[in-house]
Amino acid sequence: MSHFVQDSAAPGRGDAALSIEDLTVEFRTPEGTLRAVDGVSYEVGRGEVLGVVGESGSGKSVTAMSVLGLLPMPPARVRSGRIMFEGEDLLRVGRRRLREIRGGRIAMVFQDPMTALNPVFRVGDQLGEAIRKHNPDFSRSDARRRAIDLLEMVGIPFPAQRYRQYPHQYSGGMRQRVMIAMAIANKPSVLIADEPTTALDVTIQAQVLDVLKLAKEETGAATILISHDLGLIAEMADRVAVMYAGRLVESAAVRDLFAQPRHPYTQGLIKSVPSLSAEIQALTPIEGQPPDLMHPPSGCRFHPRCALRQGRSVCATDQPPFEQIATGRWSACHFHEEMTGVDGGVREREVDNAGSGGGGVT
Amino acid sequence: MTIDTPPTLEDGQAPPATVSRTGSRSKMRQFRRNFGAMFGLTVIVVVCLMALFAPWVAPYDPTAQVLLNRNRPPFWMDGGTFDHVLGTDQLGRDLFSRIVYGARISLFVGIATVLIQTSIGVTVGLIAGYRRGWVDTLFMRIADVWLAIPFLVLAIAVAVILGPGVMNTVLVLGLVGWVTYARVVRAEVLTVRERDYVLAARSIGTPALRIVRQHIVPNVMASVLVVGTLQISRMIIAEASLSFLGLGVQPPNPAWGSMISEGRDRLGQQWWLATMPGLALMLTTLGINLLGDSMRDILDPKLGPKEGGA
Amino acid sequence: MSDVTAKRPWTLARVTASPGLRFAIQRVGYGVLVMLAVSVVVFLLTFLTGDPAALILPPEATPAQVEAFRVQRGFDRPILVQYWDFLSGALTLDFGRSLMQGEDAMQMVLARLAPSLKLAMVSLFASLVIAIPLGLLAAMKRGTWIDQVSRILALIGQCTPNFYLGIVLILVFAVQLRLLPATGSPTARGLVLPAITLGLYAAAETMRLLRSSLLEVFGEDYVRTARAKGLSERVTILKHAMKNAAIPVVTVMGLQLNTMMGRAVVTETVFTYPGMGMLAFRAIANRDFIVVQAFVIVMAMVVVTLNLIVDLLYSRLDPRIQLSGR
Repeated sequence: MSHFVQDSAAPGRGDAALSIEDLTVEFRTPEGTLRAVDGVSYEVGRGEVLGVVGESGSGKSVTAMSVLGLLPMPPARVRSGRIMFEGEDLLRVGRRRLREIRGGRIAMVFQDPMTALNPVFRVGDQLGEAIRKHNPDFSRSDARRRAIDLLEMVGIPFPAQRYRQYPHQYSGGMRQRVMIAMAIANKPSVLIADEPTTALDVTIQAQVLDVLKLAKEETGAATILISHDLGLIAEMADRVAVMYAGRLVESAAVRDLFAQPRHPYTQGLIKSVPSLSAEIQALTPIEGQPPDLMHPPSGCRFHPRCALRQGRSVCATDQPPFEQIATGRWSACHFHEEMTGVDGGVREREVDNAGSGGGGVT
Repeated sequence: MTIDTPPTLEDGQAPPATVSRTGSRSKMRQFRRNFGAMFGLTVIVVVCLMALFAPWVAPYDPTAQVLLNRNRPPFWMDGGTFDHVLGTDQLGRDLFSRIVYGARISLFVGIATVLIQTSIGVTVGLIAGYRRGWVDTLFMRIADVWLAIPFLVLAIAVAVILGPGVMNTVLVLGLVGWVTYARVVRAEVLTVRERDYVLAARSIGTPALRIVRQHIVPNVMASVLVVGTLQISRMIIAEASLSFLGLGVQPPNPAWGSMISEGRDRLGQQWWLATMPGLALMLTTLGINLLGDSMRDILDPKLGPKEGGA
Repeated sequence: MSDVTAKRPWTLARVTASPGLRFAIQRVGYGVLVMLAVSVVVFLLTFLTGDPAALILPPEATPAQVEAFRVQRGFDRPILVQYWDFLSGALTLDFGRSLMQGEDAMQMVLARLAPSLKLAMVSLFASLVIAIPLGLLAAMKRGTWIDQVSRILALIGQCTPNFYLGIVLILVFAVQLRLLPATGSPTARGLVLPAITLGLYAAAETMRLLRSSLLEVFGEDYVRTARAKGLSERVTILKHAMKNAAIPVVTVMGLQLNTMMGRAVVTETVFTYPGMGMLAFRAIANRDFIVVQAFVIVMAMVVVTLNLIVDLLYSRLDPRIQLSGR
């Protein structure tokens, strides 16, 4: 990739395709209010792929859903923040304008292709509907032709016949291809893919990933790729933002992040998945339970599970600021400078943790 | 990245042989907060007490004809007295007393009918769901056919043939409505029998009857309870319909349906004669439905309003 | 594709090619099965007390008269022979003559079929006209007073016995206000009260079902997909959500038609509406079993036919159904 890597994951550069600024989203539940996203800011530049990583419940999907206003409200409520797109704040534009943007300028691919298509309409009609909605001058046959082209592009064999079939006649991988086709149908400038391969069989994942790459190249869209799969992120993303318990904890260019994580959570994540290199190492799951967002830990939300903390009280009392620590690198850790050695200096301190059960990423 | 663990006993969502009790305290709170459920419960308790203690609640013998006291209006109308709170009918019988005794018949028919339906339906559902195969197919086909027969019509015909009366009404209605239970129970059994603890019990050779009794019956009871409750109100209405047509409970026994039928001829003059027992009937079925709906929400959200069909 | 149908060897389905046609044939075969079952039940009905002759003849008939009647009617023959007679009669729509009027029983029933169908269809239509907007509104305004009020109305509607509702309507609109006739007839004015009486329960049931079905569908991923495409709320709800939510509603409509035909007997009686329910009620009162038999068979045929239509409608709504049978 030849393009310039964005300098920041935080507010304010102005040349981003989409920027999320200080977004806070809450959910009202019978048991109380739950803050799913807490002051998150990130942006994605034109042609860039931003990977957003985190465990389930870290708020990465909720952030993405609020971009298109797709969160169910109630129970969800956006407390604060801005989502800037082409000079407009998507949280404040009118419904009509938002509908023009949805599926037109910004499109989304969802996690579960088995349920994302309407079972009672023909696949082609659902695709054609997306095309005609944003191209009112298209005739029915124009839309049909375009839909068949799109099906062919995402690798559906016999697209003309497949056009007339219903979702239940498609496999999971094919349905996700259709969802990608639907997303790129109107050449969006931002593409959000929320766990696009998670629900798929491993053998199908690679194929769908190729389609996603193709889609990105075809449209040149700024892409937000949400996943808990670090392998996928390493392969696709230019830059990575790591989320934990509703907050951003680290952001860096993909190579820097994997080579030298500057937040203990990121490091834990990297260690808990099979190594990307051929070298075989023991996997180290992150100790402890994922946080309960109803009653989040005080201070740094990662502190109860942190291997770097070593009992220091500041971690439990003060929330670490998400600050720039080097060119293009951001971290929210009081002691990030302790992690400057390659592959982290934390390893020696972690002896006690080896072999203990705990939550990995999956 | 996920590691497949072989299923273990601890793996199942529900502990063996119990209905899931997770969060039962918050469910109770939810129930108490639910006005409809409380209203329904109150109505049912009142009607049940009325039925049980009818001789003490009712101020008069419901069949005693006092010809001097004929056609009295309710107390709030001109000429009405508190001696006869809801007035009297054309034979001088106290309307309130008749309604109190009528509750006995309605509740008896409703409950007895549902007991018959439940025993047939649950048995069929258990066998069909547990045995599966051709037994299942046969039973479910019979159930399908059963549903397509216009049964109120048959019930009417049978009532004529066997002669009207409470027992025949119970028998006819009891034999009709088992299909709903059979379907609900079967669907439940089909999922329960694949749970790990049932598979474990089968693999160590536990006899089928014991598995059904220990593991499956407790799991389907919640659904049966919900369906049964809602069905009681339907059966009360069915009995009232038969009595209204003169094919159910026979005079002088005070059934709500026959009271409405008698009062119907005097709508223009004594409208309350038909309206009051009708209100009693509506209030009772409303109470049962409110309670049943809340029970469904609490015990078995997945049962939904589809009554287990399709 | 045939793995499900293959488990049902009795269906004719496998012979044909088109899945739609196969489904239709399967459903028709099933209808025939239902009719056979009904014919057995109807036939056995008169044997419930052991002796149809004693049942049909007035109690004061002498034993010699009963015996003569039994021979004349063929009740002395083996039961299977009698059933065969009955079935072949039923196939040619010949049940014999009414014991009371002496007319052809089937002709009597069929003459009343049209008014009854008219009442049932008007009621069904009325129930849908009430239930669809209310259910939609309640689901969209979930938790608001509109939702609460329509749910309470629906609950009351479901708890009101139709004969009682009929009486109250007569009391208010015919006796007090003198707006509408107290007696039902297959005319516009004469249909209003009976149709409301018969349709209210179905309206209440459909409304509640549509509401909960819609609420379930609103949470589905494909509704979110529709919104993500930029479709308006109107298209999202009326097209994408509604078609899915209609599937369980149509299923229940099949069952509703059945109970509705049963309730029609009561409703027709209340309004002395000149339909076959009223005829059947009179026939039952007169112990005219030939007419009752003809009525039950016709009624079952109507129910089976209507169910067949519902099934075909259902398969139009849900493309998955053709593969899985039911």
